[in-house]
Amino acid sequence: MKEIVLSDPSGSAARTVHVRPFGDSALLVHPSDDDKESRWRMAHALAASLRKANLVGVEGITPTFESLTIEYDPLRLDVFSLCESLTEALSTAGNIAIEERLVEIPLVYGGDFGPDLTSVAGHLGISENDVIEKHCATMWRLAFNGAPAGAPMHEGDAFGTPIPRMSHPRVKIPAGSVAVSGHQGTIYTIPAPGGWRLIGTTPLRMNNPSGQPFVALTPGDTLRFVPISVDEFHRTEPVFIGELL
Amino acid sequence: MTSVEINIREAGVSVVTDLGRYGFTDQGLQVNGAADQFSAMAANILVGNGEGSPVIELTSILPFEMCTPEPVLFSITGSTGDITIDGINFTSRTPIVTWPDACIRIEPAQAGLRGYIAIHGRIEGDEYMGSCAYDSLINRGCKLADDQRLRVDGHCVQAPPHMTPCFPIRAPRELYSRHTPLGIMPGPELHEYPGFFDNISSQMRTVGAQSDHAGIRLEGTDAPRSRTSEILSRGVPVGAIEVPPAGGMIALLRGRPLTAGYPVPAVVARGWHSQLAQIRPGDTVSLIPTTPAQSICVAQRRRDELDILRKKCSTAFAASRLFSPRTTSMI
Repeated sequence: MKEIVLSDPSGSAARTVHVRPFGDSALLVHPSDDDKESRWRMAHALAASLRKANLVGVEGITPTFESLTIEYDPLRLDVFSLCESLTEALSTAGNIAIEERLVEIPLVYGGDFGPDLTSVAGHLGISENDVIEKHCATMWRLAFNGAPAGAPMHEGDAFGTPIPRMSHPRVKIPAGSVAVSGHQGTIYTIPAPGGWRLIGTTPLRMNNPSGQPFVALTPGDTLRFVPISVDEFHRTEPVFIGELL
Repeated sequence: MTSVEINIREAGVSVVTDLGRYGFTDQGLQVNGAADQFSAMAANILVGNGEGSPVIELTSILPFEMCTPEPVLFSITGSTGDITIDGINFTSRTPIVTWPDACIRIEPAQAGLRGYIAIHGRIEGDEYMGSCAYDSLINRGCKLADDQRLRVDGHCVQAPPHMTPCFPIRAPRELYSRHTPLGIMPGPELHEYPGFFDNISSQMRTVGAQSDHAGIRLEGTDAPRSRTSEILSRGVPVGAIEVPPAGGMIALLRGRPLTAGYPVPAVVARGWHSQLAQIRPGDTVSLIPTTPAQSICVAQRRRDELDILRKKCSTAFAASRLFSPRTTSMI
């Protein structure tokens, strides 16, 4: 199968997706809206709709910033049936509401807590304080919970221009690090390698491997970052953010 | 329900796992589970368990030893060296009934990387979100240590009436070698790697030391990319061959990060996923272009082998009245 285009049978021109095979056991689905926000919304609405359909043979449904990866077992679900289900999902997808709420994330900016704040300021040609101000003033939209281990990947146009990745990725980034890259941001849930720029650290824990649910934030949540002092950081209990919501 | 405590005398590098933690990609949880799914399923079938029951996954570069205080029905599949029980040689890929205080030892293998032990009943694991799949990132799952006791529920078996510990049943033979050909198919960024598939099957790639259950590193000629644009993070399937900025390529296994923004010029086809899981650092691989039809044929043949194996085992276990009436024959 080469790339195909699927459309909503009801004929709405806006609901069209480009589907490409990702090997023989996965499809990569790109909504074709011009608007980035609509592509994100469509990818997540389609994912919710497919999850609800509970198809035998589907092994993973992963919507991200503007695409959706569907993994399946080709012995139990053939690609044509999956595409049919995807077309059906296109007609119902728009009706799924995404819960939106405001979640505040406290963090210490700069210094050892955000070693790349200086390079981000340098790249933008503004002061470190201006970077902090712009980062705090932005309403970041939680796009999805991704890698590693449920990291809340968020989006927002805080700086007007994309932030480049590090030329040499770090081998180990501490949990709680708040990082930016492109027009995106993330919060590390576990120590992990990565090439995004670290501008601060939150004392809160973003995942909860000892309980359920594993993460508390859901796509569509709005994240607002609130600066705190180093003293406040040390006084804050490192609790799972789900306990504060 | 009856239970027994197996004594893990020498754990090497081994974990309790199952076929994976499915259904939580929206929470950022990767599937994990037995890297070589075929061998894990075959091991369970050989002891009358459901295919998704917990198994012990061991790294076959180190020896493994466990003792069973009571008779258990167990099997070993995947990559293993010599197998002995109290010094007596046994073969892999067959159901074996042990005797009281039997000591099972598995020597390191010459090739392949992962062996699987199934025991009739249910091996106790660290269950989280409906699965005991080992997840090193979130520190869930049961990593075995020397002298650890491991509980198995519903293990009870009767000595087979033929009074030998073995059955004339064997799972299909797996041939492991230090060189593995892998079937590959185009990935979403193939067009950004001009000529990637030309002559690819004649290139030999070495597997680097930085390989684990998340992926294996393929060293060798770097693939030049015609674009430099960054890719937004997206879900990546098992088998995806990523090209990270540091060069080389990484073929992803089941413990992979769920999402990533690296270009993917090719994907290891499903028919070769079990072989992919058996490649050890220092091995060589060649990447051979294949088609979905070929891949599905291979996967279907493996599936058929498992179905035939289950039928043979059911017949043999029923005829031998191996399972005590107090336990269910198929868990």
